[in-house]
Amino acid sequence: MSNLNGNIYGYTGLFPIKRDVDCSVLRADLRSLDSHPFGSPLSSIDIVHTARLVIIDRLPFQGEPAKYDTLTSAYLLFACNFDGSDIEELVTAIATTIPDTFRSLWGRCVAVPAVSPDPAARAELIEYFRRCQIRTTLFLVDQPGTTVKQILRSLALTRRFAAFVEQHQGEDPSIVQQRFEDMWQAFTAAPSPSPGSW
Amino acid sequence: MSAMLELHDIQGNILREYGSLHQARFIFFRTRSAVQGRRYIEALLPTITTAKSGDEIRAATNIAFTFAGLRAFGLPTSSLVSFPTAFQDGMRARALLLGDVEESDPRSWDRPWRSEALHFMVMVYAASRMELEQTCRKVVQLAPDEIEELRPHQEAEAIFANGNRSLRIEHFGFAEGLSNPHIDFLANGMRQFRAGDVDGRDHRMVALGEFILGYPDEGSEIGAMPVPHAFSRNGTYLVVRKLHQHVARFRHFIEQQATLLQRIIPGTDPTYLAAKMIGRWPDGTPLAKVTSSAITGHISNEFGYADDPEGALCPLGAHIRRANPRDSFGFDERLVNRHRLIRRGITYGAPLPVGSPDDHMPRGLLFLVFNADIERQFEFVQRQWINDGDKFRQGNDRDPILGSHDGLGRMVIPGDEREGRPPFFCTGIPRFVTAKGGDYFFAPSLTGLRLMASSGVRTT
Repeated sequence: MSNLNGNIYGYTGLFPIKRDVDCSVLRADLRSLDSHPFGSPLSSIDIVHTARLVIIDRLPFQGEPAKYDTLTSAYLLFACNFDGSDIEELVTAIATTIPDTFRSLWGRCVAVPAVSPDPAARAELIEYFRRCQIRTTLFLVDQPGTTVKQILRSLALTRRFAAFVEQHQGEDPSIVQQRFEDMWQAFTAAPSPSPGSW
Repeated sequence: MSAMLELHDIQGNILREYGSLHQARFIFFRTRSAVQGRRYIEALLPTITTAKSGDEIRAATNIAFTFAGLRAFGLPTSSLVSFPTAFQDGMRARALLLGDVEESDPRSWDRPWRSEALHFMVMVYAASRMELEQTCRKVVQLAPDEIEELRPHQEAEAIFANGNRSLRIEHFGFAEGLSNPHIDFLANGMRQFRAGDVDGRDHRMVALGEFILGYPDEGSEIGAMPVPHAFSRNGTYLVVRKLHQHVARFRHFIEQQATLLQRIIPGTDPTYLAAKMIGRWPDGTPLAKVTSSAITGHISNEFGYADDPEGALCPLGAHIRRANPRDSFGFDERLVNRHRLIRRGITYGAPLPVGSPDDHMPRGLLFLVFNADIERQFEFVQRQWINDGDKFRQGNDRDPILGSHDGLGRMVIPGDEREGRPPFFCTGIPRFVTAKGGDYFFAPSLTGLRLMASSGVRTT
């Protein structure tokens, strides 16, 4: 399946935005997501590697002899890499973990179903995401066999090790060895960082 | 591929170094009337220096316009919308992309850069103070009442190392302006014209279209040009940045870090550390060719990094290796040559004597580069090579000299296994350079200026 690479699924969807929605307001709201304490409300969903939200409401002018071209609708583009094999896992995670954020963003899109724990409503929401999905023919990721949790732990170790090297450069090798053992013990005992926590 | 070049139609400071014209003044203007603005261009036209000028000139004058300026001069909308997004936005609007945050935030820029009002800039260069004043006086006297000079103008003057007039240095004490692309073009049937220094006999020449609109670029295509093409051809984009250099801060950091460095690598000194951060010895000798400060004096651009893949000679994250990776990325330099810049910087402000405390006086570099594509060239270098290190296996470490550091900056100075030299990790790098102004300009050809003056810029 062209959306899967290792244990990571790549989803891209185009969601038509309602005509009465002011896209500049929606853009401002998207930018305000950065103010979340952990970088994004999507950080609460621990299967999400990356996510991108873009508003497409105009086409660039290509210059002479091209003409001005227009879209029949503005669109919200949502692209997301997550740990999983089907978009049902992503949609379920979004609907159960950040329902308010979902309503705030997707609520401005055409024909979006309600967010509800009801199985029928959930199935409708999943089907909505499938209908808006763009066909993927090639999906590349740099670490296909690695989960979000594993990557976060690796990043924490990289950071801890770099700090260790900077702190102890030039010291006697026996001291460096002991300090490294201490650092390693502390690291392996520490919990993994959560997304966006540093 | 070589291209015929109309030197008489191209503004002089694009392809000429003006090496003997070491005084400069940048005068900023706004026009309140498109009609008066056009009259001013017509009056200035005979004074504009072209690339046909020789080394004998004693003064030079050139001109460039912001997007707001082109609009104020009455260019039709159909032409304005065909200019690239970056140019239309202007540098201030792209501050986040460029790393102009905190100390470099445009809200803290000097006047007139922090206002919206700048329409065009006249650049005057001269061999002496007297000739500079004479030329500037004429520029200002020609301006009608509707042309408002925005104060303050920007003075600039080259600094020379130990009175050696052939070697310009910047305020940190290092030779500057040594590396400019060797451009592939034909003039009068012979390759006798060079834009700055030769970039090395073993290195590919760079296509003219990377720097002048209307010619084939490194992709063998004529890149997108604003319309009408008669207006934009032989023109180019000019990026200007006023970069304040924190000289006392730089010297203090080097001295401090060198104390630790000397414990780890005996025999080194502060000059060694600074050279490793920059990539050249102070006199311009490249580290890639000469590893000891005792045998400098080999100022050269004939070098590459293919024989130094781990950065044992010139660190992977050193300033000049980031600004121009040369043959680091293989593919016969084709990748690098898509991001080359013609650099025409000049220092401003009085040098801070060695050993003096910070006097908080303005001093730095007026960074001027010419390129045919602002996003693919200047902005790419700034974002991908200066303010990020991924391409150089440096993670997200930034350029040690130019990077937007926050006091936590780092740089790895690789060791050398052959010599048994351990690596050294520079830490706590503060910001050494703060942006105090800048913008994107369009430098039209002489034909383009004549069309502007005669209201001849039309798309239908």
